[in-house]
Amino acid sequence: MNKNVFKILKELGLLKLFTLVLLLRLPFDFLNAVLSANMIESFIRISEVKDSVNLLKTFGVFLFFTFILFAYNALIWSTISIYADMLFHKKLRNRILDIMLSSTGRDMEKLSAGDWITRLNNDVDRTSDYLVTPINFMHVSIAAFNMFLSSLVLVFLNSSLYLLTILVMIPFFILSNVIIIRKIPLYRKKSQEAYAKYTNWMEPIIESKEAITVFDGQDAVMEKVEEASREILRNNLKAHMLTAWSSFFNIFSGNLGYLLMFIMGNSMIGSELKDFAELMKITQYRAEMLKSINVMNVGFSNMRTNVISAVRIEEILNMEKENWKKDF
Amino acid sequence: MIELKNLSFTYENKEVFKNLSLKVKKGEKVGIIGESGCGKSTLLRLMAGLYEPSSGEMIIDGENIPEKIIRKVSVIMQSPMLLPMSIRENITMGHEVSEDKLKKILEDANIKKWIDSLPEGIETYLGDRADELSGGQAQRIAIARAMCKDTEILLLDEPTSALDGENAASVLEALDRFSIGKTVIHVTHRKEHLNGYDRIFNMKDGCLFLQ
Repeated sequence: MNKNVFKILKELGLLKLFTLVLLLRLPFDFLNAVLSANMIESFIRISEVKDSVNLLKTFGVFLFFTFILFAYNALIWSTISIYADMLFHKKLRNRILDIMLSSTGRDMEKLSAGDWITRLNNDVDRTSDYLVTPINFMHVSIAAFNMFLSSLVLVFLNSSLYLLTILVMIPFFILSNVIIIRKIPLYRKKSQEAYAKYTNWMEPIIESKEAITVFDGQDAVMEKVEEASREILRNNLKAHMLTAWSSFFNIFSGNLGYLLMFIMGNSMIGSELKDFAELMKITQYRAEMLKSINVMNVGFSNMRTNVISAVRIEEILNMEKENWKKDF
Repeated sequence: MIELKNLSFTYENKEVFKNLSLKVKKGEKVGIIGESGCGKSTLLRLMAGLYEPSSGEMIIDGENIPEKIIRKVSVIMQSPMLLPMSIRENITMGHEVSEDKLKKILEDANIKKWIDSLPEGIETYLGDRADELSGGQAQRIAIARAMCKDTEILLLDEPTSALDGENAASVLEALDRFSIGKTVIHVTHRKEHLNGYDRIFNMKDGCLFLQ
């Protein structure tokens, strides 16, 4: 976890709750992987021997476990997760407001009005996105856990196919996560700063509307506001482009891995692999692993996108500590 | 030059004034005094084309449509209404102005010396609060803005009410210089600011009474 996010959670007293939410979710994806891989293997075997009695029984068993698993995820875990998210929003906004209200005029002037508004709204939302939306911190951790367990199973089932899968993925993973998305936080930071500039314009436009009208300043003001707006778009676009490239490499590595797996797996049937059902079971584990890697890639990308907001919020929280030091 | 015929204005079902008439000749200086909330600022905004009268006719420099009236007048309000742009942009509002003309304007508005002392001069960016400016400096930028537009009619709405004695005197001095030969309507609650004006009206109960 990013150290700024960690500090914010600690300061708000929510670290334990978020750890709990994370731990509660960890087994879900792996159990889902085990369930789906075994379901495919069982159904292929049953179809090969045309055993219709067992087919219905197997269907019932898998339906029951799938229902239990998804009910746990949708009802119990999601409720706790939403509660944690709401609590985080509430506590963080209250904390920033508290700092704003107890700040001296001089401290308030350190940031423009637009910057205060952006940090209070946009940055709080983005920091929350870092933590709890479906594809960020929590799911990255879950995906990593799932990937680790799926890898263990794959090594146990067939080490050559596992090695092949990993070797194909590594270069793309590095290219995507280390090289391509490295600059995303910089563009997001610029975009947030431009957003603050944009917000800064709203109050003067309302207050000075009459002067703008009388002195025919609409074009000048529009140009300035559009300039800020263009800056937001420009930086967001650059960040999106990098995310898109990152996604492309992830999908490309995934499909390439499947292709090699089927070609090699097919020639292994009878020697290293028992039958087609076993290959499909391995493929399903590999699919779950790939899904985890994709979740991690997207998660890392989103975390890089949103982490700058956590840094901006931490600056405000630190502002109060600096004042405290000065006062005493 | 300025002619108001039976002008009425209603705001949120409240009649601010009814059947108000006034004629102001070209180059004449007219002061309007009155208690807070009597409607004198509203009347000024009507004359600036910022509001539309409920009934009656208003002819300002030959124009009777608010959108066209706006082009014929300059307004200096109680608040300088500065924007988060450079001093230059606040004065010119994005319009082309020659450097010579701008220099003259800064001198007439009593701000050249101060602007020249700033590290970035006229390109100095005024933040969203324009904190570093005194009320007098901010108001003189607003005067420079009006000088830049340079219309025959100048409307003043308590331009010195938020200033201390020294700053108010300096702003009034700049305004006196600027208003030579212009038609001026000056709304204020301080009669002493209207010395030398051709006519002074007192606004009460939506009517104008000559003093």
